[in-house]
Amino acid sequence: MTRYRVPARVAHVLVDGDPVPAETVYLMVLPDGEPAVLRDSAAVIWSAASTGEDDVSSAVAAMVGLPLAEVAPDVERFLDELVSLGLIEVAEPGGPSVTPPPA
Amino acid sequence: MRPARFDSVSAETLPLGVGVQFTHAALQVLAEDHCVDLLHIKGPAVDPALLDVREMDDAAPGEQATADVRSVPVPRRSVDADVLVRPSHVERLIEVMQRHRWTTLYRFEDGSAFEHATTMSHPFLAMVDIHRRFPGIGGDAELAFERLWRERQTALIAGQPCAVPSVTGQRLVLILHATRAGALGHSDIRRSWTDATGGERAAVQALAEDVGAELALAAGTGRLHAYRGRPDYELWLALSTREHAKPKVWLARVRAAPTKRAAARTAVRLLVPNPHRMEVALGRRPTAGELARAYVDRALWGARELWATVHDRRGRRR
Repeated sequence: MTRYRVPARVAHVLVDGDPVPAETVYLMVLPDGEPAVLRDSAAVIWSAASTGEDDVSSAVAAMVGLPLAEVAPDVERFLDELVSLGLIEVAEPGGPSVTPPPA
Repeated sequence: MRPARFDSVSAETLPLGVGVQFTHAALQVLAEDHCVDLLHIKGPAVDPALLDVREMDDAAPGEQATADVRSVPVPRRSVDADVLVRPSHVERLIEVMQRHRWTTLYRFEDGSAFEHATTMSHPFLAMVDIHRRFPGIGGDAELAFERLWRERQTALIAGQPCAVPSVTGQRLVLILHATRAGALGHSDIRRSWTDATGGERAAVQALAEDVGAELALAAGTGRLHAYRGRPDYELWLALSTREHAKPKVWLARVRAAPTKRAAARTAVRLLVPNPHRMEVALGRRPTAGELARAYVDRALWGARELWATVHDRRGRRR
């Protein structure tokens, strides 16, 4: 299982939700990245990944009430996209769910 | 489940509240990278203890209200971000911001008569007021910042740990801001002072005395009469009571200036139109004719206001 975390230099604002899963997530790579918005399933996936879930696909399946086999391919593809955009990163085993800021 | 998608956000579709939080976060990162000491103030930087609260019932719509009513802080709505910067670091911060797509909208001398803040704008982030001092804090700005900086704490804004004043420092800032706006009934004063404990008030008072804000604090908390005779008494009386007669405020500002040179500068800048502000409003440089008309309009306005003030005084004497 892969755990994820929010990179230290990604600003994020969760809208609605309580606060996870959020219905909308705004993200920005600091200090100059263009802002992005994730809605509905995209926001659910980012929210689950950002909380350091051990199994993001299972967490998302439980949140949206669908079978794991149905959601897992979409979730994994989207997580790869988020990692490539620098909006989420793979966490070291046992590490914090958010990258510590520079000392 | 619909396929998950990533969308870019344009400046027009980024909600203002989100843009304000991103602005704070972006400035925090720039400050860290370039050794700039900066405190985030007002808006999303305010401690939950100083926010208004709303009673929330967890019952579903249509269900009978439950006994479990929660008090939930109401986030502040801001149209721009505000930061207080160590005065000796201001120039460096502005230079860094300009390298990161920020442009100066209003210079210090274009803003209020306090000349305390410059306004910067960005292609998609919210505007930010960079404060080199805070109106109402009359002591040395560098020492005042150091006092606030020494007791700073951290607040998460857009997930970023941002440096903010202590809760006592935030109380003082919120009271001074509301007082300057003449909003003595504002909930910021109620939450920061009226509802505060004796110990909390004493801490705010001690901080105000350390940074030279005791008179402005007194103006916001109904104790200004104790400072009658101080040069800035008339100014804070005028500001806190929303004095409408502009010449009175003008005179009070001139009298409150710390030196003769500053008084002369204040007197002139309040009477003469500001070409840079005109340029921002027009979206281009004003023509010579427009500038001349602005000078005439300003002079006529000054004469009318002065006449009304004198007339009002005579009327009151009768």
